[in-house]
Amino acid sequence: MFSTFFNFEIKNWVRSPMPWIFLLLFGLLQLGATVSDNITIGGGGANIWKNAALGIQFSYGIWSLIGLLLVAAFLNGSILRDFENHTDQIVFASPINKAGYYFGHYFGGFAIAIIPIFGIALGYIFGTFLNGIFEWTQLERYGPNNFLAHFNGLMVFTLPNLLFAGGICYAVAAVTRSTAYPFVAVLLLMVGYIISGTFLQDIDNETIARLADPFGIRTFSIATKYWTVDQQNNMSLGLFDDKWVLINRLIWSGVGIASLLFGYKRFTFEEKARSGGKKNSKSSPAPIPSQSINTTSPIIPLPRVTLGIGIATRWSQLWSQFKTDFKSSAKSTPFLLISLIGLLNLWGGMSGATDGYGTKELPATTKMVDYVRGSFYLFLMMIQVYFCGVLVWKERNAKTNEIIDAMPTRNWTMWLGKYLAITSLMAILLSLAIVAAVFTQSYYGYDRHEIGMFVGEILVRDLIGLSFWTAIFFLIHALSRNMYLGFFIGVLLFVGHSFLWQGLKISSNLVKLGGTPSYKVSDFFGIAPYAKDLSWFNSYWSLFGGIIALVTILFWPRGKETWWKKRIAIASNEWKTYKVFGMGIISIWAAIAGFLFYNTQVLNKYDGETRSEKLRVEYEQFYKKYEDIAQPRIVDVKYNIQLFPESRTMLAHVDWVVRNKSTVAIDSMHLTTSSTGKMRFENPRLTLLLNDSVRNYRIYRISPALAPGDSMTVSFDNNFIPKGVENEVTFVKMTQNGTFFNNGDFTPVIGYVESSEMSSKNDRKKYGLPEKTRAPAFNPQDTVARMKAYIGADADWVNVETTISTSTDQIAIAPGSLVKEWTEGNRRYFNYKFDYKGWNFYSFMSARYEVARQEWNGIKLEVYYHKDHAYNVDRMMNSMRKSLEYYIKNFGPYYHKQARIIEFPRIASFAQAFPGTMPYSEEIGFMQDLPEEEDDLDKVFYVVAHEMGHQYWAHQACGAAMQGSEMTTETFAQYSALMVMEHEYGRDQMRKFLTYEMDGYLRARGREQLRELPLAKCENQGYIHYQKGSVVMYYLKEMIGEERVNTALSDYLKRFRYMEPPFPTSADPIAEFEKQTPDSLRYIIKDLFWDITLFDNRTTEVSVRNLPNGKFEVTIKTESRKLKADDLGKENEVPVADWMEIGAFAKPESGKRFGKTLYRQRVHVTQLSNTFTFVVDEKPDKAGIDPFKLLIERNPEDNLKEF
Amino acid sequence: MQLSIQNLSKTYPNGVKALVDVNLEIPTGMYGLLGPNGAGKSTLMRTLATLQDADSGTVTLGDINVLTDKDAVRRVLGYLPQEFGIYPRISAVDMLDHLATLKGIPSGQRKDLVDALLQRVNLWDHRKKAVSSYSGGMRQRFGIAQALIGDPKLIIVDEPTAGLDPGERNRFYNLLSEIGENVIVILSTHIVDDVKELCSNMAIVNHGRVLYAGAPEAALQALKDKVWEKAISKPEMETYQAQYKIISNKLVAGKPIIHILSDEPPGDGFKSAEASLEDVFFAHIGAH
Repeated sequence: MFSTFFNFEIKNWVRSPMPWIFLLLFGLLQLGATVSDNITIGGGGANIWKNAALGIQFSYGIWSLIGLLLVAAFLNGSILRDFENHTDQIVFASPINKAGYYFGHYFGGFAIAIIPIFGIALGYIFGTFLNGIFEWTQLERYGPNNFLAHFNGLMVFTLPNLLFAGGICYAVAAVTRSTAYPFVAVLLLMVGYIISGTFLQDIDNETIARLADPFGIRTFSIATKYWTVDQQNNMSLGLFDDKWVLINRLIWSGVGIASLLFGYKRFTFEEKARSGGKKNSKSSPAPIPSQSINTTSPIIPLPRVTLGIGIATRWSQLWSQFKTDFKSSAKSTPFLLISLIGLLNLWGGMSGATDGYGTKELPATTKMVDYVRGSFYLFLMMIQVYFCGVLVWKERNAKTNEIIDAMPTRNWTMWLGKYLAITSLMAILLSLAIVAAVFTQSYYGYDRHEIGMFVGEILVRDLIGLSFWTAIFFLIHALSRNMYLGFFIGVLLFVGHSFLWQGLKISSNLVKLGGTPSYKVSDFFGIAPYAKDLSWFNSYWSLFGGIIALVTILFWPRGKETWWKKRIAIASNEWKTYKVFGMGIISIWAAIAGFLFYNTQVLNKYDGETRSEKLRVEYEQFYKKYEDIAQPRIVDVKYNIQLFPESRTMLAHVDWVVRNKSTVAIDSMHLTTSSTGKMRFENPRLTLLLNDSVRNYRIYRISPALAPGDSMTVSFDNNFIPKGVENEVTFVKMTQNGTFFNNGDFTPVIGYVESSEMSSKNDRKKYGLPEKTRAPAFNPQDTVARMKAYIGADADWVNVETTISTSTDQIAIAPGSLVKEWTEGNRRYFNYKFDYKGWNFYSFMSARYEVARQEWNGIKLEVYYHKDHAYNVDRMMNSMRKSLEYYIKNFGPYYHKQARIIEFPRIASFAQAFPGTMPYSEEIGFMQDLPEEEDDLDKVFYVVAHEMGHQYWAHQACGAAMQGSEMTTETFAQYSALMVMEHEYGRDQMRKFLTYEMDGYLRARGREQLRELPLAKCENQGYIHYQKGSVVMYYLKEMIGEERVNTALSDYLKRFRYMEPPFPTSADPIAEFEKQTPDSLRYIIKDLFWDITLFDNRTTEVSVRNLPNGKFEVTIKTESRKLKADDLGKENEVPVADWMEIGAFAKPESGKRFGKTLYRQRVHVTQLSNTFTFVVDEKPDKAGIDPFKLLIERNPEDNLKEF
Repeated sequence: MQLSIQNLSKTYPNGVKALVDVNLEIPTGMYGLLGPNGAGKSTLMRTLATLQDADSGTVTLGDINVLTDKDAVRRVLGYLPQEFGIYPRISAVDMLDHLATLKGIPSGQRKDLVDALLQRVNLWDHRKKAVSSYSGGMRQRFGIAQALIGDPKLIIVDEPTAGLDPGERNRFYNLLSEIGENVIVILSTHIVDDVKELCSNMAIVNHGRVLYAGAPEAALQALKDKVWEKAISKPEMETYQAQYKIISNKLVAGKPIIHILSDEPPGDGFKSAEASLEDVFFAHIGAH
């Protein structure tokens, strides 16, 4: 019996085109991803093969998500076939058994649902093969076919996910006998996937995230997160390789099977009496008895009516249409379900938002708007896509179309009624989202609800943007002959169009469907810098939406004509009545289009992506030859800057004193100009030889030539005056409130700028440029490279004086101490001057600031902040003071008379250190929500301490422009911050911080695009110079002691502080560390700085014995491996002979993360397996090796084991 | 008012000729459109109901050009399609109100009209129930109620009694017959009895052509004394088919009774039969 139905199902599907079409589709898409460098499914760096084993396996995970809808379709079809075809009564009247019927169809559909998945293997294999012939992508990006990865993909993803999702869909279909509910179930499953992702954000929740992802994709990602390039290329994860993956797969397959069995229990062959009625009411008549009409009774005369005419009638028709459509949608299960889940997800997203170190941010309205967009719009769009189809097809699906179509209505009332219904649904949901956001704010005690911003952004601007798509979807469905085809095209267009523009390298917002300039809301300026440009593009697209609407109305599916020739004839007949309106809207749109075209393509011409790439290439090709010629260096700078915030205008006059620091006379000055504004140079000695305004390069003759040691003044003006409308708003660093720009944003750079070169390995290859290293090779003997620090392209230490003016309500800030402040007319002037020389790298700012001031040992400490962002100002002050205390004591004097933190708008989210000045983004520090509990990291404190560290590590001594130099700045700033934090918050805090750092390092090294380098030779690799740096420095400190590390650092600083070139390399401080390290530990210097060293320590067994004296004897068995990795992550085991710690902890008190340390001892480990026994006073909870995770561990989780 | 159809033709993209040079004059009163399944009846009806466009020809309803001035037609049209459904989960009264609004009934008159219509078709007691839960007969009654909205001058009912039991069919006829005399009612059907019982005029169509147009009585008259019947056994069928022009055969108590057309008495055991509309129907269809 089972085989009858199974075979029936197989035969039926095999003969239908659907499995094969999807096999082809999956295969082609995968093939495209395999051969193209632009399409990736699941990502991968330049060193990851396009057919890397892990990538292959991962694509099975991704495809099983995409394939969910298919699973629903196949399994639905299997169980519902008899109901759909009305053969149920025939089939069920036959002597069949339920189990055979139910499971036979299930496994038949199940087997068929696997067919499309084989497209992945075909895509990979053919893709690799075809690329071998045609070389679309470089051959070195491919490895051998890895069949095991395909097998593991099937085992880890395809089969368990099919069991899970299939079981649920099949059961839902069997119980409800509806095609709609299984699709709703699939949507829910997708949502489940998305929600489980929010658990992942904080590292402590990894266990939950591993279990909660029903598709195992995140479980898989966590299991392989530390895999190196080499492992990713060659290895895949078997079902039994990772405990969590296995458990997850078992759990969710089990859920699927349980649902299947539940469905079996509930499934019956009996005719179902359905309440509410479904479309097949003919086959299931309702139990209402028909009544006879009493024919003898007199006929009730119908009241006389007059048909209304004119606009009033149209409005009531429109209203009735709207009401009917709105009610039916708003009351429908999919709407309620998706909205509810969307709101729950929004709530989860808003309340669980954490950033890098597990800390939260204050729910500011700007932030909440982002959250609503980020976690709710997916659902909103689902609703939009779904109901656009459902409403356009509503009459036809209900078969009431012939009646409605023959009514004396106009197409526009029908269109508009439905359009308003969708718009209202979305408006309601958006309002609910706002309510949820406001509620969240209140819940977290944040009471600045900016309702105006919520409404303006979410309910107005976003609704306008979304409604444009409603018009598009309506058009698609109006033209499509099949609702599902309409859905398919709609979703494809919606998802695909953004990739399309990218792929075609189109950046004009006049072309990108619904495109507007990108923007960000800030408490400083709202959307002021963008407001005008946004409104123009919004109008442009809304009117275009109107034209789309008109076309839709003309082609509205009315009547039974499906033949295009007829439909066009009908449409052109309709056009007659819309002519005036149509011509009107088209001409307004065309006028705006013309205006915007002129503004964005002529007045504010910008370079498209292709063109700017080409210009970069040419810049390198034309001017690289000048890279090494001697050029004057800037030694003194005077600025006169006028800011006009209201009009976003900046006028700058700059006087440079440049000096020939070389040994030859310099007869030409090369300048790489900035593309912002126009530049004019005044100096009688300069004559313009070359002005390449396209590639921004100029050459001036210096006559007479600048002799060695000689200097001269070079003056220039540069203005930024915005005009008209732009495709993307430029120079938003100049705003109505919250201006923040660097000198580099408006001054030219002397000489050729190496950092402007194209850096991506693959792009360079495409344009035939030679391979490029990320940084000049580490070589302390390279005296040429050591002549430039990595911060200063065209200057070493300079003096700076600035006069800056702004509007009277704002404070303007320039580098150095404030010398003078005065008001003239309606302008406010400030004069600033460096206290001590510094790098030619600093910022200018202006905003309506509140200022907090303190003085400490003659140093002015200041925080400039937005009036509503006072939350963390005290912490910042505290951190500045604590940092200065520690640094002055341990590293040496501070050379400025002031230290200030200045808030800038959230157009960027970083903090930066300039001499004595630290701009700090609105987004990351000022709005951090720092709870009182001691367990949580004070990220604000840390970032301030780090930036204060840069006052020494960068602003007093900075490495030369070569590999390893970031170690002398970023790594030491990290170390400095760690020490200030440890003194402020204690050692336990460090454990949490270092766990994040270690995790970040281990994850990032697997994603390295080119090669991982040892710390001493890192080349601008954040995960090395920040994250590994923290772990390395902390370990060094633990091993040789804080004092010795600080002595080494201050000795290094003594040698290089404010030194003219040659500049130090990473070898210089390392030599100081070596001096401070006892001989027995010397090996760690090489391990930490010169090699990539990893450990694999684990505790295999722990046992405890109660001693008669009330103490506890602990025995632990451990394994220790030491590995050295090459630059692709290939690891070689080396003999272990290292000092490490063993230890034991008590149970943490409730609410605490860490238990009391009961035992901590350094031991010398020289072999793989070791056993240690020690006695502790209290009952231990956990024990193990390297308990504080000081070493860089491949897998830090198994260091400790619970008793 | 008279509906006048001239030289109406329509060919589908797949080559099917749905209407071939159709000419009909339809006066007020009940007009039957008789034809087998697929004869082109529905195409004609939908064309009259403004839901399809003809390739050529003209249709006028009084002064209205039906093919171009669709809105004017729709204002005086009541249309009951062959197959129709109603939005799920909407009650009869709400749906009727919605349709009345679309028809253009001002809000002041709508409620009375809807109530009267529901009473007329005897759905008053079930007005708050979802139309989709109605039985077939009730749905057809709802269908006729909506077709009566707005005092239509042209009512088109397409195959209204298909699938109804005899009781419901009678009820439906009653409803139709109550429609005023000054209205054109076109009833398309393949059931001969429908026409016989209701229509004063009729047309027979097949393969898109009008085979006969006129009063049913006239059609019957034309066949008077020309229809002969005989009970035969099944194996004899082939012989008779070769020999006579059989217009129909049906089983009576398991034995085929054939009707043939003949001006003269054919003898051979044939008896004179009273011509029925069914004979008319089959005679015309068979002739082409």
